[in-house]
Amino acid sequence: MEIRVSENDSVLTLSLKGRLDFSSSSELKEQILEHVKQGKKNIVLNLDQVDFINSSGLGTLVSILKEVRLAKGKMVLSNLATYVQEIFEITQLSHIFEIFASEAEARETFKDSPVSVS
Amino acid sequence: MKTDKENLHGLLEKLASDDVFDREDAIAGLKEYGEPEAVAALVTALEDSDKGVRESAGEAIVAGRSELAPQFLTEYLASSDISSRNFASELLIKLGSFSLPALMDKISDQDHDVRKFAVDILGIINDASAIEVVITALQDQNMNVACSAAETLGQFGDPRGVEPLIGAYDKLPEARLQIIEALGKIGDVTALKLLSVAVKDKDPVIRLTAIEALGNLGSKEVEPYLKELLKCDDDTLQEAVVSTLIKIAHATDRTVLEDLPVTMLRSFLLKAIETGDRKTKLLALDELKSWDAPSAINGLIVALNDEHEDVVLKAKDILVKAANATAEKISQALKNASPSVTCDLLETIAATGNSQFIPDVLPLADHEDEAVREQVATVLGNIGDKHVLDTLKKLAEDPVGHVRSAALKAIGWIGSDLAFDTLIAGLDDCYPDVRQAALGALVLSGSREVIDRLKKDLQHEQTYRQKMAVQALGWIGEQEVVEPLLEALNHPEWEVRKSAVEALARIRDESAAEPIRLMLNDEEPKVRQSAIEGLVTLCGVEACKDILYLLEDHDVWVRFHAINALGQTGSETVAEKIVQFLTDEQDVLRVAAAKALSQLGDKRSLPFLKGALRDKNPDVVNIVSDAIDTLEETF
Repeated sequence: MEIRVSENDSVLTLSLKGRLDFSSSSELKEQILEHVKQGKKNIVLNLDQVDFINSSGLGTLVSILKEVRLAKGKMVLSNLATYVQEIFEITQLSHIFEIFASEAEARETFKDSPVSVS
Repeated sequence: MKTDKENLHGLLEKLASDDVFDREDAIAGLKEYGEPEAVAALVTALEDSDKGVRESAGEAIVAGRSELAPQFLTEYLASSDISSRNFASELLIKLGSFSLPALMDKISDQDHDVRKFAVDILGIINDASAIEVVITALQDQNMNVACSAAETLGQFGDPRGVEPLIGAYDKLPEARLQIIEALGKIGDVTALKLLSVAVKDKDPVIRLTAIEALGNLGSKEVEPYLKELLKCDDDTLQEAVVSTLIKIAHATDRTVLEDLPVTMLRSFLLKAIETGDRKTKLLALDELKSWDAPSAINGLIVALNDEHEDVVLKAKDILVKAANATAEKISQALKNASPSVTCDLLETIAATGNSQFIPDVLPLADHEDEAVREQVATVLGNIGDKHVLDTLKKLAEDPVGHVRSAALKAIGWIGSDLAFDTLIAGLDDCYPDVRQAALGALVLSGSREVIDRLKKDLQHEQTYRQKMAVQALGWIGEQEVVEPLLEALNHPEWEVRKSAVEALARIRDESAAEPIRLMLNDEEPKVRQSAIEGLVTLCGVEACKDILYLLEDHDVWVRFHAINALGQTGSETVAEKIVQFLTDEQDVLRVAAAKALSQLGDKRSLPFLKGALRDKNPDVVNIVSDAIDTLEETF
């Protein structure tokens, strides 16, 4: 699987291409957690070119989401192909991931600054 | 044959008939005539003794849009019969701009009531082309007419009304309130000087109206005048000032609020969220976003109870962003909240995925309200902590289907094998949603144990379970599932074989190509259809040679799928086989052939497609025409 990374307005976008299975999703998790460690916690995963995802890939996505949340970050998904959308519906993961039709809409969600803490 | 005039005469006579149906008929006929006597007769019928006739006459007048109608109708403005006057006014409003000339004429009527009604109706029609006449009415000697003129100018919202309104302010003390309101509605900054004086008026109503009007100017220039008012002791006035400053802050920038006393601003915002109108509530919530989170929480929780959906949504949105910082307050609020607010708070917690909330959420699994229990399951799934599995297993046995379904989904998200038996039991639930949730959770688990269990299910006594097992194995998509799916291709139930073909194609394992190729000969047409699609997915253009013979399949839908699939492959050699379907007796096959040919892009098919433009079915012709356009564009 290819992972293309870009950063804009403090939002990190990872565009994935190919199969998201056990081996490729482990690599993805490693990369994302490294970014999170560096303080890059606003993440968009663009799945436009993901043509296959299995239960290992899904499980890893869930585990990445938990890690990002634990680090007080936010990860959203965009551009799910029909096949990927279908499996998100089957597994009801569409209820725990924020999913956007386009990358631009996904990035927009980070624009609202969080409530400040005293 | 009767002339038009004779016909019209007949209708006018019929309108005088004692029979209601005759009069209705007459109205239906008269509305086709624009002659003055026809229009006058319709207007007269507005006073008919029968309500139905009156209404038909009104509809006929509006539909006829005769320029004469408003002239007749405005005569009713002088009527002492209130219902006739109101009915005429209603029709004048419906006629809109058609009524303007007649209404403008009435501004100089002798009767001051007629003048007032005319001005009021002009305001409702809201066409600013009447502005000059209304400005004249502002100087009317009758105060009611002048007040109506001020209101109408406000209604128009046209800046041309500002100077006359300012000029009239001192001359018409009784119209001052309407003038201030109108200036606020127009929102032109040239009114600033007058409004800044009006905010100090001795009449409290004028003061409050002027403050609101200043807010509508949407300019930071009003800031000093408003802040000056904060020095007085009048609470109502201060609230109005703060509310207006918030409006201005949202229209310009927040610096307007920066030097306001914090206590005053906060207390106002909390009150506004509770008692303000919808717009003020939304603005106040926006303002809350900039607070430190814990002190904003009370206002947000109040807003969760609001009657307006957008207010609740905004509050939830802010709460989600503030939830981690307000954990303690949210925990407290959960203890006393109503079921609906509890659900909103749980939704907020779910979005954070923060395990700190677990001790507050777990006791709610026994809540009497099923919506709360359902939300508890969702929250626990979102938090994703394995320590909550026992609670989720309990919720998976809840008497309410929605709760069971939410619990099974949550178990899936947590991805633990410790609840394996619960998920398997869910496959036998009486509710399809629950079975689906169990299936999804098993797919997410995808463990060796799950795969082994699903393999066993391929021999289950119930066909739906066999089918679900194949589907689940397909979605799991791991290497280990390929073998059982290949075995399922020999299953006695065709639905299972079909699902197995689809699952194998989805996984895209190359070893499945040959077995799927064999499924092209399956006795069940639906399996052959899936095999066609599966083979194209796996082998692309290479699949053509195997699929071609299915163009002669006895089942029309197999032939349909074969044509579609061949179109998708883009093979250069199949167009000549497909053109023959342009003349098939089945419409669906002719359509499929045209689409496939446009995808294949072989220009030799153009003459055949052009011939198909003579097809008897216009839908087919449209598709063929599109296909020709596509091909011609290609070359």
